[in-house]
Amino acid sequence: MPRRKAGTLIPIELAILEHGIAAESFYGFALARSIADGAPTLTAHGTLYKALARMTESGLLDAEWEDHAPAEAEGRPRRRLYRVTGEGARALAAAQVAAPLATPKVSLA
Amino acid sequence: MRAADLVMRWAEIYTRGLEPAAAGARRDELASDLWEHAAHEPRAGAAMLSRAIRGVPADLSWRYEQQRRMLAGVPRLQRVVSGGVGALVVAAASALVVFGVAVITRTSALAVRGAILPFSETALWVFGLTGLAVFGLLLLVRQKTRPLGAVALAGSSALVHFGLFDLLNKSATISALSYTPQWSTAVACLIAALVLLFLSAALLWAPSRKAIS
Repeated sequence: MPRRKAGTLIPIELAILEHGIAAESFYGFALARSIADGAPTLTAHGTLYKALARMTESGLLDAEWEDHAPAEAEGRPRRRLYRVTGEGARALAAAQVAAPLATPKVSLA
Repeated sequence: MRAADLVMRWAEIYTRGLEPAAAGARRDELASDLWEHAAHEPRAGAAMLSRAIRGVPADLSWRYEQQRRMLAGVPRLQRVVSGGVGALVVAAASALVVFGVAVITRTSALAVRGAILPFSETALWVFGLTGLAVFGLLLLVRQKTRPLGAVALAGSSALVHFGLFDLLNKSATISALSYTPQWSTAVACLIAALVLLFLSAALLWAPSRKAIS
């Protein structure tokens, strides 16, 4: 597989930044639904969480586990909450300037 | 089994043997996703499975990346030695199992034809030690049980002695070779080499005190 140019974003990363930048924080399943935009097919687990991990490591996103209290109060597992960092916002802006038509309306499976 | 359980079972498989923090985080995040999915869509089983199946290549590629990172912290010489020893142990263990099965097959065929009495003491040793070799080989599959597997294989090395002894009066080749002056020394050296290999591997793979504490 050819290595991609440093600083370029692939469609799933663009989609995550576009959907994530509007929210204060977001978590995996909500993001998958938001990206699907009403379509029945959600992004595959492996694709989504691999991309989130990669973007967190490269500084485009911040990630932290939510507190125990809200999860326990709602009787569900804790969510891992992500936020788009300043670097992530800049990368998104740069990608939109470079290719304004390259919206992430592609299959992300 | 529920779809969510199947997906988590798959996650257990592809996170096995990885750095505990990364593996645990991936499983926890996936468990949260599955819970949210089920809460949002009560009959989400097929959709969950579809998401899991479509994500398999990404899961495997993520696993490969995690393994590469784990190995990056290990000196190159240690990686090469560890990999070489692993391949040698698997090859030697497989050879032991094949030898044991061959001896058992030969003995069983002769016993069925009535040429020899079944269940001689040597045949029972061969049977037991072959079983031990198979057990050891299976234990090599998991990183955690690998040292124990190597120890079991060291014990099963005696199969060379009992197997060859069992074949003395059943194989013309073994019978002829056994009359050569170097026979006993060669057999003893082979057994000693196998024991040394397996025990060295067990020591190499044993968890260090640092890792335990």
